[in-house]
Amino acid sequence: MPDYDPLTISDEALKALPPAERGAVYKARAAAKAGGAAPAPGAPAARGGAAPVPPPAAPAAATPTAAPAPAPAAPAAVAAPAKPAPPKEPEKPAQPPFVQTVLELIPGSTWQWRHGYAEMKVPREALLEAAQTLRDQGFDYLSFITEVDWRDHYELIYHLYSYNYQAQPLGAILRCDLPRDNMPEVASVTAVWPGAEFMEREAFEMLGIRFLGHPDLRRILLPDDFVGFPMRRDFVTDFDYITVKQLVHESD
Amino acid sequence: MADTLVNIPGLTPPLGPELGDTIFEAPGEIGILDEENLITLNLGPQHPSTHGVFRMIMQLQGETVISAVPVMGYLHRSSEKLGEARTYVQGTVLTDRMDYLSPITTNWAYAMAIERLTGLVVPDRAEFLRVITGELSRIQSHLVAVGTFGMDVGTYGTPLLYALREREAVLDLLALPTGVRMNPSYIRYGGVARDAPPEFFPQLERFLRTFPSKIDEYESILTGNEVFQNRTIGVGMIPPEVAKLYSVTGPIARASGIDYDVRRAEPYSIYDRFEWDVPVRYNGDCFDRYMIRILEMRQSTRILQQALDLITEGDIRAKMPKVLKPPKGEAYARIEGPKGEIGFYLISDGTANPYRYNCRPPSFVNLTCLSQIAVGHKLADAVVILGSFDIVMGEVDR
Repeated sequence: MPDYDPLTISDEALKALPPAERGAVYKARAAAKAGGAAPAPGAPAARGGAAPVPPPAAPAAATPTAAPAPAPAAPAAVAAPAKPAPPKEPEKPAQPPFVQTVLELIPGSTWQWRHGYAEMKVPREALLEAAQTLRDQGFDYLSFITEVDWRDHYELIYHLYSYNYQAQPLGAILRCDLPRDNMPEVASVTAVWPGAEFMEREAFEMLGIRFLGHPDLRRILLPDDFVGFPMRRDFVTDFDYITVKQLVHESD
Repeated sequence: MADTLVNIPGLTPPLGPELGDTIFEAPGEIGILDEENLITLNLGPQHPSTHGVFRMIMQLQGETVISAVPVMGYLHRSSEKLGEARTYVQGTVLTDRMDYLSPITTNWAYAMAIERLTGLVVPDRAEFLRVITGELSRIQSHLVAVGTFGMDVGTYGTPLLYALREREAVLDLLALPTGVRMNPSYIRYGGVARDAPPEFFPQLERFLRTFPSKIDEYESILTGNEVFQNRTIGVGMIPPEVAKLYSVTGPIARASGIDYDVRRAEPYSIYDRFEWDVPVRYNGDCFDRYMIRILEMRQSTRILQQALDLITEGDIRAKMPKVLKPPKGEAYARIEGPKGEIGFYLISDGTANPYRYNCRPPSFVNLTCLSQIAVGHKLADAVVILGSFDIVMGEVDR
């Protein structure tokens, strides 16, 4: 969802845009010059009246910008460009209450908006505490854990939602940095979300992160005799691994 | 740090009973687990009832499952590592190979993540084509799920053949816009790969006219069947609390009474323009999981009919540079696939290759609770439970 008005954007700002968006702005201007609303021929009537509203998902009252979900809002912006301009991105809502709780509870934590999700970063000692706090605030659904090797440190990214999406429509992202040791340790969140079991096993075997308190921390996808952590940036693919095994097998 | 761990009652994952524990040999029949009755059975990886190369190491007493340990990775192709070494459009091809029964939905999640990174605007017609092909793939995936589930229960193939008959029709339909029957890489960032030819729409309409009666056929052979009901009702119950703890999504969650569909929870694309319902059932057993798939096929037919009525002419692709280099950033996008929530987390470092290419495969996450659910059932029921989970190993192992 562009955060500018295609009809009033300044030339400097326009130049800074990526080409694809610049094209959309030119299109919108041309359509406005042509006069009147000129939606795509035969556009569905359903869209006519409503004007380009942000996706209806956007939990109306609580957080107008919370879910800018680019895809749904996008067609409206393109197809009906001559409409009185897509709604200005409203003021970013104040920090949601759960963010405030986490920030107050955990010293050294920060937060920001990212694509409509509230993203919090906590120190690694406080990961489990933050996870529990968030679950008590309604985030009972751990979508996935992404493990990233940033070359100078590792990072774990937890995507959280609520199964009761009417009450808590926001998504939250919980991040935590780990030092780039050989086997950095961090508390497992399986006590909070047992569904993290396989995700943490995958993070363990791909990046070599040891999750303390995990019930069954073993390899999950790779063979048991595999050496190394393949998603590390300094991992060197061992092409002999497969061929040597084959040769040994055939010589038997 | 370990002492900061807090044990929440009821949350410690049980690792199966130990010797001397009281166990249920059969409903109402209590026995003591002893060593001489214990059998270890290796089920899979090559076994017709494991839907691919899935392996379970089971401990049995008599026929009762005492513990089931899933073993996976036999189809691991390191998609995430490969995705980092390829450009964004080449990464689409890897997504096809994940859920090979419904590749278009995985394409979609990946494309949405890139669009969120770059701010690409998808044209209206492309969104309609995405919904049409996406819902057709959902039908196709559910058809295989229902058919093979019949096999697991022991119907000896008739429902499977019925289901594959319609799946052929769907594949032929999908081949018109995509050009191929499998691995289409149809949905790409900024739009879709090709426009649908004009003959596609009348054929789709003809299919939609006949398909509901075909669903009635499956129902007449399975739903009311007494043997089928005996094998599935009350088997493999997942209470909603357990489903929530284990991050279960998709038809499995909705069969347990969790009204959660990403199309509703975080609407994407143009699903807000259609009128459709989220089917929910409340027993959480294998029968409900089967019924949810039947009901979802009916809802998909509804969505397809409306999409067919509303689709307009127009562009099918946004204007894009030849080589896409998204600005630095990160994006997570998720959609509702036939098996649950498919998510993609992409990190761009400003080059033509993603810095991190991470997929949330629904089957993989749904499998987490399998060992909990199978314990206490008969071995034959464990096979039924696995069938009702509808896993695709291409997606579990990636």
